[in-house]
Amino acid sequence: MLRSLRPLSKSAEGGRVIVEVDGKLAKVRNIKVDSRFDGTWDSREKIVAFSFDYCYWSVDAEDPKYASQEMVFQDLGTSVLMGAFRGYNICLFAYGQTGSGKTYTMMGTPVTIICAFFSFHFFLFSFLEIYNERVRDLLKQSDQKKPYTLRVREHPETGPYVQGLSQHLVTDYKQVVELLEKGIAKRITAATHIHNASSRSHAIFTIHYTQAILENNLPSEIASKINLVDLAGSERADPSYCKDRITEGANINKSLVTLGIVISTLAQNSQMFSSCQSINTVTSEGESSHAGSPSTSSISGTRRQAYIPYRDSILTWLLKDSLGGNSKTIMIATISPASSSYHETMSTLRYASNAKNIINKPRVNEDANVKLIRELREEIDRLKTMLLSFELRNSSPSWSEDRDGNLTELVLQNEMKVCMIRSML
Amino acid sequence: LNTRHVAEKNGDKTVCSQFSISRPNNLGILWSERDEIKTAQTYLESAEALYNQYMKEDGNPPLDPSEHFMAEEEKLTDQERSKRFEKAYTHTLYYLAQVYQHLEMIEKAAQYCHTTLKRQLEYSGYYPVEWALNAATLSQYYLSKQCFMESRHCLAAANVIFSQAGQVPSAEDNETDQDQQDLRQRKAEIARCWIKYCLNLLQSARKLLEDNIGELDPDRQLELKAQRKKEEDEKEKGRKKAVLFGTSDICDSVLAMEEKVSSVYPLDFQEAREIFLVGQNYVQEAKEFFQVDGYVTDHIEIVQDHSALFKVLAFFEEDYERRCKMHKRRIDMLEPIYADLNPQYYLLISRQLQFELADTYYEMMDLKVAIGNRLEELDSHTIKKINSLAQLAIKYYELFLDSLRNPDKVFPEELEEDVLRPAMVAKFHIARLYGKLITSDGKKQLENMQTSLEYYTFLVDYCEKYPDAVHAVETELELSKEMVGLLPTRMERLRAKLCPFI
Repeated sequence: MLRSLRPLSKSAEGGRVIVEVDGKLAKVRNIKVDSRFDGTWDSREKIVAFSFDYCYWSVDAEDPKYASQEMVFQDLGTSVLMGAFRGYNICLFAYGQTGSGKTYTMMGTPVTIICAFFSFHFFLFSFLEIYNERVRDLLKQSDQKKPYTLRVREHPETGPYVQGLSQHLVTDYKQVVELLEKGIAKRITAATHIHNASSRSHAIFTIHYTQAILENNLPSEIASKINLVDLAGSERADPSYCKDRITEGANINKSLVTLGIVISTLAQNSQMFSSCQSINTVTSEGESSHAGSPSTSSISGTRRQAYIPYRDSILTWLLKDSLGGNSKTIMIATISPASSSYHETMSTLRYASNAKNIINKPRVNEDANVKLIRELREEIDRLKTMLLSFELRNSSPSWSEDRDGNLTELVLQNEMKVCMIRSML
Repeated sequence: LNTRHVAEKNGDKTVCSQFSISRPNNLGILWSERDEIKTAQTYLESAEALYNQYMKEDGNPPLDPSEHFMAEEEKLTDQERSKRFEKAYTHTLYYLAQVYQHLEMIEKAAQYCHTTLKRQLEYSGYYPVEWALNAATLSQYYLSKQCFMESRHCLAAANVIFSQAGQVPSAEDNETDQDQQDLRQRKAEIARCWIKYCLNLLQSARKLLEDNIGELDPDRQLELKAQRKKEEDEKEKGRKKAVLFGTSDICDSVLAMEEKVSSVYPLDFQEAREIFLVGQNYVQEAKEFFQVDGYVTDHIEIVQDHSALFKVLAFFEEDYERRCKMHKRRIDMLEPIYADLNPQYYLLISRQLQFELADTYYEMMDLKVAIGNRLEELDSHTIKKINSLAQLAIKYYELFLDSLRNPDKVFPEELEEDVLRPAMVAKFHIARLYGKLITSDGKKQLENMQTSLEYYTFLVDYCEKYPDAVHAVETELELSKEMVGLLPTRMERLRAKLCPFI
């Protein structure tokens, strides 16, 4: 997982830079602790560090540590491509404050990837947007006044899908760019207080990548899916809500919206087996919406104790199984270096840090296992005793050989019975 | 900050109180925005204390702050004044709930959420569906604390309030299909919360009743029954103290709903079965909306809950044959879904089902063995049954192991952290299962022992190659080493007997 930064925009130029990248660490200076800014990174100040698999600094092209788009592609794009080649599904998330450079990073990277291969493979593209829990096809012209809402469903054989989403066959790079631009233009844009060209919707660009191959001299195909997810800007859609603050109830009549969030969080956190955090809780932190369902999973037996009714599920629904297993997931978190964005920067880094632990861990049913272990111990004891006693008996001349045939059977039967009786103790 | 001074000097308690609730409320918010949660807490708690003090000492609602700036004629009625006062207090509680959550004072946060919900019903107004969902979610929190009485109360209230949603005409009368759909979904979600209630109650009871090999301990059962008799009186007192939802009109409905299911631990099969049946009804209700075609993941989770209900009910059942039938029901509901599932999109669920099916077949095999032992002789029919169940268990453990292969079908050299233990346990269980297969054919017996040995050896070899793995399977490793030591000798003896040296 990596992180990249965006050059300070004109409006932020007056601010101070509070982020530093050092190898695989991202350090953020806590501006509350240090009110005097003297440009040096004093170890006495409160500095919080987050570690990632990759860190990129792309604020200033002149900086020796500058990471160009090419570099990012090198590290990231190659791994994506190789994975898809071998039949893995890929999911690439971009998360971060609006204006921190997500869209740029996200869209730039896949474009470079795609132009690499075009023979014996074919690509189907689709592009959708999730806004206020409604799904829209970004590549289809809707003539009605109301935006056409698509339904998300799951099929046992074909997995989660969006009913009615258009898929476009692409044969050259130019078409890819055209599709991207068309889709991006259609996205609902809403001005936030930071960046004008931002969007408050999630967007998922999906590439169905099919390779035609010969397997045992028979034509076959390897299919994989690459999802590029642009997560909505991490400010709340409702600017007055913030996780670290209290939501005012004064203007809310009947619906104390946050109450639902608080209760959901309480219920989630108190679960014994919630060792994994789902991508939904990560993404929902970035919206005014509600705490998501934890996708804690254990292999059997000891499963979740509670069911949390959750309200926004579209995103996780579509991408649920893209974490762990035979999928490769990469998350790009983008942050702004400006001091004015301290809160959002910290939020993003914290969530991205947590996202590293998003793995659906299969777990063993320990009840059944304990019983089995006890039985096996008894069996072992019995075997040891038996071997000992037979060693003694074998030295005795009373066991004649012609009785051995029947004896074997007798012995076996007796052993089975003893075994079974013991196993029920 | 100056207003407080003025109000105090005034000496008018009435004025002082109202000022002192909304002011600390607002200050609380202010301080929270400055990230000084503790200060916010102080202000809000002072508002709360003032309310309590005020309600105890006085009784008439104080003047609303806005009234100080109104002419005499414009002043509010007592009723309106009281309403606003109570609303301000509800907000205090609402803010405190948030504060306590941020301070990670979980129990207090839950308590304040609960009270806020209660007050919404009584004073502030609410959206029925949202209220019902919140109550249902709060019930899940209570489940984790084993507070079944409170949990049931929340769920019962959720049902009652949710049913209001259908009755009250919505503000926009053009209810779309989407809205109808949403309503049905919410109802199904509340049903799922109820399923968890029943499941948790049964499972908690099991933990209290089981002995050290997982069977029902009759002594403990007697003990707990006696204890329960004693506690019945105390429970009544506890009930009266609890925070109950309900204005007079819904109170009765909530009570009626509560009476349909117990909130005390079931201590025998009869009691367990009653709770099981309630759970099963909610399973059917939930499945009406969460159908396979469209909601694969949710549907499967519900079926898994249904399977878990059967599993825990089996614990209470004394008769082995009937127990076996319950496990068979589990197989019957899980196997078909598993067969239809594409692991490419549902890998984790697929693996969960494989393990659960394997464990269930193992459980059934064990029961058949126990049943067989009670007879004089093991007849061939029973032996066949035992073996076939063992083979099926092996099959599903193998399927799980296959799921770990990469796209080139190669089993990984080194296992990833999150699948390490399950994979090792699967190998271990397969080894054991081969040891339990019954055959009178000596050659076959040898083959089984050989296979068993190979699987035990895998564990031992893997842990030698990757010492970090040892921590994940210590006990299993220890036993595997023993078996690796003992089995060859045993096999030697058997070989010797089969082909005697002339």
